Amino acid sequence: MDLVTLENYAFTVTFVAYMTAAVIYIVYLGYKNENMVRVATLGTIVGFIANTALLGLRWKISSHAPFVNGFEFLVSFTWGIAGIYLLAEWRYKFRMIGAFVMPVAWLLLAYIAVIMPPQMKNAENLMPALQSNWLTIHVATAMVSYGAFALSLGTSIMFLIKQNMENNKSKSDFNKRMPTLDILDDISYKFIAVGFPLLSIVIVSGAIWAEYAWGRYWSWDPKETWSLITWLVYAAYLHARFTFGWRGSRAAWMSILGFIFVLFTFFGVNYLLSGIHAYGGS
Amino acid sequence: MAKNNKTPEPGIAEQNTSPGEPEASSKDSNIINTVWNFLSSMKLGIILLLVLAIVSIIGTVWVPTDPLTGQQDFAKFYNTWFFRILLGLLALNLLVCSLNRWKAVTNTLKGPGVNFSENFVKSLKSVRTIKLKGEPTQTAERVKDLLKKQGYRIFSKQDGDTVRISSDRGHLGILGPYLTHLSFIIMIVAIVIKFSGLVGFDGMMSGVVGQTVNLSQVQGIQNMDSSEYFDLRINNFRTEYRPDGSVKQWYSDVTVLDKGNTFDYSIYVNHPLIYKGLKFYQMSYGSQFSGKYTGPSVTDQPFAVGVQQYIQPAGTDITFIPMSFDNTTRKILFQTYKGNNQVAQQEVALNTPYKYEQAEVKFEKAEAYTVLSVKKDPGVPIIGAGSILLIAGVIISFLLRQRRIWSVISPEKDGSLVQIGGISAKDKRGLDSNLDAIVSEFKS
Repeated sequence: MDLVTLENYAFTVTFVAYMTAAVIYIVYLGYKNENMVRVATLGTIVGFIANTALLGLRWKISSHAPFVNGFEFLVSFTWGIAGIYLLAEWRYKFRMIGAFVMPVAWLLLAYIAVIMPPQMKNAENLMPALQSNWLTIHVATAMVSYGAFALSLGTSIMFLIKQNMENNKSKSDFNKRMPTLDILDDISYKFIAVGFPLLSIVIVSGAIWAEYAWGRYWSWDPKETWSLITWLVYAAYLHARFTFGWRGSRAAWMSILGFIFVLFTFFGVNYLLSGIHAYGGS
Repeated sequence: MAKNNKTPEPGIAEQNTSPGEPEASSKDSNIINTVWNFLSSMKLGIILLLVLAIVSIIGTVWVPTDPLTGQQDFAKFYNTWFFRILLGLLALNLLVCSLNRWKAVTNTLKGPGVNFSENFVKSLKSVRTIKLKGEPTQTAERVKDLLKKQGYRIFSKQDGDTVRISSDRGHLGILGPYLTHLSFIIMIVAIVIKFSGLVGFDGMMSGVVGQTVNLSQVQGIQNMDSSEYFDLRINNFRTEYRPDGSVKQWYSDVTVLDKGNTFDYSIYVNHPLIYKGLKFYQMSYGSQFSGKYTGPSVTDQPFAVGVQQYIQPAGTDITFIPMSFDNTTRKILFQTYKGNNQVAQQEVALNTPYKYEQAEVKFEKAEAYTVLSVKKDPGVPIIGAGSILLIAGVIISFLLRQRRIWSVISPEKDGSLVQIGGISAKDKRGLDSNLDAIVSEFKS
């Protein structure tokens, strides 16, 4: 069996495993069954292993770190999301969070499977400007950072739902099983606290790379600018949190806004804005 | 700054006011104070961050076109006076805020004070009360031990039978935001230096293989003494291909000739030559072709063209277009067109005539040239230092999360009463688990 076929299998396994996990996590929201949700955790682990294999195979096939085209970015992104989610599940033991995080990973893979044109999925040679170790650091930190922001997105959405139920004095079993508002707020913050330093490294390593490649550490290319905008939004979140005590729903909304900006940096810039940085997709 | 009542609310707990050290009141309402307070306010800081974000978004959507090249100029918007004022305000805000917070930082590093009241501890949101047998002094020693075990610094004071203990951990975390803010100021300074036009330059040079180029021939060179100029000899320009024909790398092999200091270097993409504060980047390349052509009405007409330029002998509809020159095989790759249709593409050696119908071309000389971008920006090391500080500051902020615990151990009937409470803006859950651990230790 050649490597490309193997890579296709790895993609299929990742896709099916994340989908199964996402569906079971969602069912678990309304139907408490611990044995069932263990299958979801297992699915996430299997998917994560297959996702890792997928990245490894792509690395072998293209003989460079798999961080270059849109396909490689996205499967790295899903790797970051699933990895961070497993870490959070192991640390906090709230499996309901999975229903708000794993669908994001699965939807990104569904985008590859359904919408992305096949020629954009192939392994490509590196153009000279991309042949840099800084690129590897740049994208590797980006995927973990974005994974952490995705997790914070999930717990922020949960916070808003839970708060809504509390305000309506909901006595539903669903409300009771949800982690408390304090915990959700705390987890959202903790993962932004992981993502933010990494996002800083993403931006700085990108600037170092640009300095080596073109002699311009910053050129206001839309992708650069959008990563800065994302950074500014999370920086504002952190300052508001510590100074004005912006917790709870306002913090949750800012975390959601931040992730929208992450996604826009990822997709929007490639499809809606033009620029020299268009390696990510188009 | 946020309203700071005497009771620390969980959200405002980041204010590093220890009890007994009220924040400087801003009642003096003269204009300097008002301006100072406005400039140092966190409100201004957050508003500036968000305004910068919004303005930056506008800059990625509304991109002016360079009238000369017709290309989009992404940087132009961000070099307008409006954007600079925003950056300047942010720098000022950070600077004033840093100065204002200096005292709070030194106080935090020193550690929380021990002159606090029992009511202060009771007013804390995270607070536990335990009644124990045993004298207050003994109990206090146990509390200290437990706190120490959890990594707290201990400060204590005994008044009669009552012992007060203040303690903290992660106090160095307060340096995190400080370093981050400092890094911003440093970077803004570097950017101002760059755009002042007083130091460094952004230039370009081209050289044919074999040519020696003096720095004085670099377009755009400035802010450099001509006595520091040196020469660069272009030994070769090479394109390296992969087996599938795609470009792997472009190389310019050069020799630096500088008053007795001579060395060879290969410049390629992601591998600039750095010498005497100047950086040379592989930017572009091309070839120049010269020779003679012949047609029905002309004979041995000389020409000199670049890559993809046309050679059309008068009186024919035949066009020759040189595509590239291989320095190793010394052959020229070119296309032949009849009217608008390509009729041939072939390689031909130098000085070998090639004839198509009535048109004939002979390439006599082909020279590969390379284009290097030449830059000098003394701000780059400053930006580098700022970046390192930024990352160090951000990591410290999140890794070292300050927690403070105050305890009052006072005598009770048949024993002592321990009141213990704390504040942590960044890690309330961590603080609570510390307090719970202490309580459960006592109960067991």
